[in-house]
Amino acid sequence: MSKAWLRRWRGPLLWVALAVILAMLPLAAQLDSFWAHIVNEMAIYVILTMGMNLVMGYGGQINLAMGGLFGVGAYSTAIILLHKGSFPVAFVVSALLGTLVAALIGLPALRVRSHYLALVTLGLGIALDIIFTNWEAVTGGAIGLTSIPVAAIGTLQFDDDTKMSYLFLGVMLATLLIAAVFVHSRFGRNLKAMRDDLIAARAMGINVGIYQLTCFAFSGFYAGIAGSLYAVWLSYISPTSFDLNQSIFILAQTLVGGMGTLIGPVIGAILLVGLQQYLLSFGDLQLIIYGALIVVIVLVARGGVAGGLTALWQRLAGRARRGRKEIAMAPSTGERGAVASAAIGGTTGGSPTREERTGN
Amino acid sequence: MHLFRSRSHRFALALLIPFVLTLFLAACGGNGSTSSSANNAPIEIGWIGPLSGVNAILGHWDTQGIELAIDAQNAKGGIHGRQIHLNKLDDAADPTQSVNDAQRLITQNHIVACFCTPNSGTTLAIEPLLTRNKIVQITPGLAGNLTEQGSSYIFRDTPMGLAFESTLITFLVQQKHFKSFAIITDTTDYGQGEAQYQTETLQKFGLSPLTVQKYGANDTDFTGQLDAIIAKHPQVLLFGGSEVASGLIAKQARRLGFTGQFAGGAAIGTPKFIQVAGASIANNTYFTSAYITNDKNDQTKAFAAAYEARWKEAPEGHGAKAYDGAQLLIQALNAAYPTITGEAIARALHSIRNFQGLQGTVTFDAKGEGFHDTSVGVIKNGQLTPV
Amino acid sequence: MTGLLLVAQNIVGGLGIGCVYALIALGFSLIYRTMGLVNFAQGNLLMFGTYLGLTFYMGLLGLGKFSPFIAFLAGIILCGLIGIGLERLFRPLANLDLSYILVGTIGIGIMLDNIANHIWGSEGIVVPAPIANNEINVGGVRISPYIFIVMAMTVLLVIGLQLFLTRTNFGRGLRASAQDREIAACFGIPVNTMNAVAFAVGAGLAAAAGLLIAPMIYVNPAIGDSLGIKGFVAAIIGGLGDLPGAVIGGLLFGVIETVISGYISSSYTDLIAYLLLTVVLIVRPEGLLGARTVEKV
Repeated sequence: MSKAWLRRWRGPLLWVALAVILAMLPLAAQLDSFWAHIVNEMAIYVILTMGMNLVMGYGGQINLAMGGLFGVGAYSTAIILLHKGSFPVAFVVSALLGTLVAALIGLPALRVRSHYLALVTLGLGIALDIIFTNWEAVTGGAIGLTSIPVAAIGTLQFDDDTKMSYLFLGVMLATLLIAAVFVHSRFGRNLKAMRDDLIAARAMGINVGIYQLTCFAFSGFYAGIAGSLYAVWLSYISPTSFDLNQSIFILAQTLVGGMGTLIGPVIGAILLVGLQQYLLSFGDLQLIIYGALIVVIVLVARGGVAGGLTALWQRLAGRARRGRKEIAMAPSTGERGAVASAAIGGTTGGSPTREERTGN
Repeated sequence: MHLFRSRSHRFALALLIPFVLTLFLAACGGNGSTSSSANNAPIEIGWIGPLSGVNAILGHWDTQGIELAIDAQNAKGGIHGRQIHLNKLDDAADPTQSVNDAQRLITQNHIVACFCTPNSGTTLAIEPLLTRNKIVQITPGLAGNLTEQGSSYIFRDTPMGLAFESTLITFLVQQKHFKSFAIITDTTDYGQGEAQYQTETLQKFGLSPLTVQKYGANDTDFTGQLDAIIAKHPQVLLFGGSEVASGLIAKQARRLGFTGQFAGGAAIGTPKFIQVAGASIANNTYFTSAYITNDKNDQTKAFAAAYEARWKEAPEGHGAKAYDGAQLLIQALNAAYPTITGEAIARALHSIRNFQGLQGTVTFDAKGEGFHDTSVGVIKNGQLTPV
Repeated sequence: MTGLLLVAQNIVGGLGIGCVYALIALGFSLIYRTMGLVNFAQGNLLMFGTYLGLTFYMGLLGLGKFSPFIAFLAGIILCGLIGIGLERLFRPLANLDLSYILVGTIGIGIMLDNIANHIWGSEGIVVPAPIANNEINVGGVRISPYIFIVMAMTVLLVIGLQLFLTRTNFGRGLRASAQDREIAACFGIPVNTMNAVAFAVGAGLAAAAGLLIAPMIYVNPAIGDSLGIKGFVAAIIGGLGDLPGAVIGGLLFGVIETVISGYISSSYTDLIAYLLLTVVLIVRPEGLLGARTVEKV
């Protein structure tokens, strides 16, 4: 183990440590069904948010079809299980189908300017929702699919929330690891370069379209996995869980946690799912607060919680001088196009350049 | 070197947060269930439904009916001295949230019965959980499959959707001798269900709809669908969707030259449909309802007076069925006392014979269906009247 | 009804709902043109502004009933004030990547929906048309006279806005600051004021659109999202930022929607519409009327 190797893989190794610790917790805590249920929900959303984060924070795109891709995964698993298929098979199929559909959605990335790609995802996400609602023969239509069998691996039956929490947390940690490896790989570093300065990256020979397509496919992979878990979690799925609102919820979690970081999605998912639980008794104020939260985060804490903590830590440790360099490398603060350029907006911030306007 | 340290410090910090959070969760977890069977402790009942979002009006009507009944009973001393405590949680008609709500009510509030939900989809989502925990579930949802899940804990406080549509179509075919029908419905689970029941009943008479047109729940223009319908010249246009959309459709249909008969199930027998369509267009529309008018008998008149006094608005079908559901639960609670558990309440409900509700007489079958009376009505002069 | 008559009726109906989409698309394009950002709260502002105006037209909150004209004005002005407030709120983000404000508008949209729910309830209201609205029969095709008022107002609005933006100094200042804030500021253009006006006009336009179409639809807090999305799609089809394009895009979208639901399938109408949008975005993202200046990858 050379020093260089250690330095390079220090990040993922820490993640392994994190993984082991978290995996031990259900055993230590012996969660009862109420808390296990919440943990399971958080696990599903962590996976979804990680997928969105890959596309947004690293790829520089907004994928508003995440809800629909989530549905692709859920329906695949549900249909296979209802036809007496096995869960491992269903899980793999969901992941593959999610990846495939996401790649199809991202194909226009090879042709189209980045900000219009977000609009394409908006339209196709809604299109998926419409298919789920109307293709009654396959998806059960608006009524959905009921009595989905529980997940079973060999003789292990995951028929209550506590047992499911082992499976869900295990899968969640695996996805975190994969994301960590991905981000620290050569591909991941090229992605960061691309996100920070599109033109320079292209000059260096990075095929922007292929990179963005890969990010999309990845987000679909994660959405498919999350969907598979969702299907066996409630034993009932319906199109209302896979609509545009779901994509926005995932977007909000990604934002709150901190885009372009690895820990951001975890924080964002835990915070917002937990917040939702807390606000349950507030009736219609709940959604008002949710909307206000999005506005506040955008105004005050654009790096999300992760960015805020990083900034806080750096200030506490008095690294203000060296901070400037680090901030430039930290993905979540600053104006230089650090975050996804959404529907309209250049990657260099400020007002849109003349190229993007459609006439005067 | 300095980069190295800051990054690992960052990760250490990052490691702490989920760790601490999960420990916190774990520490707060592990609530054993304690039975609240103390002599004067309140009886915990749950309510789950939409209080926000597009379906909020359903939750609004449902809670008003239930609270009217429960508060009246509490004023009389509750159940042998024990007050009934209603815990309401919003689900915005989202299945994930409904299940979360149910989980919380079960483990934190230790409910023994739950009114949930006005939407069939979310009712289905919660059903396995409540059944597993032996908690009585009373639902105003209309979908047929709610009572087909093999649960002995679910009870419907209204006739099912098929009953409404079947009575309507039978009337139209046998009494009024209509032969050609078209259906227009929305793409929600409610609309799809209603259209299904209408089609099934027509098939019993050897008929099938000339066309089934669909629209999105929020659409406001139906020119395309209506033109397709009018081209087929049906005698009757059957509504499968909600009262508001159906009202808009009725108006537009007349404007486009449709002169045929309008008809629909439970949603059409509402003041809201008349309001949206306008009294003149709604005139002579057939509908079926389990609660046509507040003036049916002394019981309904008393209910209407009390409802109006409390909520400052006149009640209609939704409030009435919620009230019936609450009264049935109160009856069962009194019968089960002093054993206030889900099992005892369920048994008590199944033992009820010929209970007199606002919507008719009730005896529950093994599946949880107890209401069967639906009658045909017609809208005359802006009023719902029996035919 | 004969085949030809059916087509004509469908087209007329499509134009009717198309006006609705056109007015919403106008709002999107206007804000994009003058501020360079997509305001995802446009549909929700429409709903909120409509409720504000209807509060006075129909005496909703017990504040008294007023004439349609006064209620219309009140709705527009109050909604415009909200627009100014939004600009102030998002001012710190003005120099950053516009995606931030965009996401912020999503949050605002959610808040508006639920605040409206809280204030006016979720039940919704039926709005009577301010004129007698018995349909007239033109050669077998039935048309509601109110549609003509809506169409006329739409045309007036487009012309008025277009003139304002191209002929007045203020309008030119707006376009300049949208194109390049820093240079505009160098020329002494008060960029923040410009943005405030842009937002106010956009919000006021949303209210005007909503109040105009209120008698044609059923007004409830949920209409913001569904109308907003469709209006947005229409704006893109016509070319985001192009005002006449927004109107044409809206009308086209309405007609396509109606014709598809009448002839092909009513369940999959929206699906076809969104797939169409995708095709447009891939093949000609600047829309039908937009200038071909968009860079392709």
